[in-house]
Amino acid sequence: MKQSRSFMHLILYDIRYSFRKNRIKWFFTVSIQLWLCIRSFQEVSFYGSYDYLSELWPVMSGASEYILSEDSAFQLPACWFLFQIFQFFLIGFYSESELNFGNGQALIRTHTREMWLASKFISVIVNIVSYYGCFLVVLLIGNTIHAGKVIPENGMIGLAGIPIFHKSIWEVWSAFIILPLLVSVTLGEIQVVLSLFLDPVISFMAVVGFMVISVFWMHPFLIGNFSMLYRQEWVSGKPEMSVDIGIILCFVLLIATFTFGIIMFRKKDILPAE
Amino acid sequence: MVINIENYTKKIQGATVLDHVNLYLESGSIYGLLGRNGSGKTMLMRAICGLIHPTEGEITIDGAKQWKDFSYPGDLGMLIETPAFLPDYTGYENLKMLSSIRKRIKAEDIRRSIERVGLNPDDKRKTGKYSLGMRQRLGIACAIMENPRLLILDEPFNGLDVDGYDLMKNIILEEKEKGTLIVLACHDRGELDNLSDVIFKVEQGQISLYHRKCDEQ
Repeated sequence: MKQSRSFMHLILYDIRYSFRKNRIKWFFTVSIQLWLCIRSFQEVSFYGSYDYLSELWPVMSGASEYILSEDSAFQLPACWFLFQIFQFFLIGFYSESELNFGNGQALIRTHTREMWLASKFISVIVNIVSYYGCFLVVLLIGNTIHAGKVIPENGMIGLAGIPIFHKSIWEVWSAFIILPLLVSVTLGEIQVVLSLFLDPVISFMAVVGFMVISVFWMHPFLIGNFSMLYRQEWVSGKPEMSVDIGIILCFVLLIATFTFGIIMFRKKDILPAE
Repeated sequence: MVINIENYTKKIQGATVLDHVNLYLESGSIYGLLGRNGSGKTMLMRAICGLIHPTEGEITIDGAKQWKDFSYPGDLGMLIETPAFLPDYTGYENLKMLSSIRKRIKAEDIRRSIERVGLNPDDKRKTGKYSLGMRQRLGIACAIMENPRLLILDEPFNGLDVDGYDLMKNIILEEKEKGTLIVLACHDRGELDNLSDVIFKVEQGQISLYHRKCDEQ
């Protein structure tokens, strides 16, 4: 009872502290998300479709499969890439800096190292959910101003012309939001664990590199692919890229990351940075 | 509180930083650590705080084994090396943030701790603007604010002026009176002699008894 109350205090501390520490980054987050929304509105208005899913598409769609050939040029999908990368920039530095805050002052106030790491994992989830939530709200405000609809009337997503009339609301939202969010949480947790044993900048660069490779090579184990709508089964037609497989892979990776993180963090010596 | 350190050895990248350390520490006493820079004083303090793992040996506190029964001593206050604070928070906000993890103390306790070290809890300056001495004082306030039973102080007099020096000495002695077990490392040998009940000499990771006050009496 005492331990669970103490764990709750720790989670609240991490959420409060991580938001406050990142408040300048959050200002830029909202600015970037606003810019992404405006770009998205401009694109869809060209096609005259003002529904929410069509407006979401330019940011969440990513790129279709890259096929290497003599005359093909590799190009990163700018909006998707910016949206994805900025969230890792937002969450990737907090845990390491909090660990060294006052030479472990916060750490010694927790009961166990497991509790400390679990709390950091929860704060990553809260931050990423807030990141997506913030973007969806900004987009919704714009959509309301346009007096648009949530689902396109003709069942086709405006820009891409992808049919969604055969999909349930749950299927649509799990493809558009839940799976990309789960991918972000999984990669965010991996980044946090890496940042505790490597340098936070190196771990951030590792995740950025992973996302670039995901764009380059379509494979389910490169889970960044699942956050691109173009790569998901219902658009690409590849059965190994189904939403269900993506969700299972993310959960397996999350459990593996947490277990590995706990085992390694238990053995870690907290020494001055120099 | 009784701390028993048995045969504690720590190797980092092949170098032995603590070498078969054996110590027995009890509440209500001040234990001084004397030694050159890099002799292992701070590493021994980190070991007691649970910030490093032993290569060999163990630490028990009141019979409970570290890394088996607990990770960190529950009633610990520490100041190790340079105190680091969030630069864009005031001193009070920094301590309030840290105290929210254990939630054992109230706002008045935090304010009292800040006043005890000679700072003003209503000071609106951010800690980034604090002088070295002010940060040191705040570091001590942070260590004592939750009324710890174990106080680890590494060079607590660093950067303090004469008034601050006297104030800190009094605080350390007051904490001792309360029955707190205090481990203190200090460069000033005279001050260490003055404050400590027992002094241990740390040399190349090895520890030996240097001076015991009761032996004098």
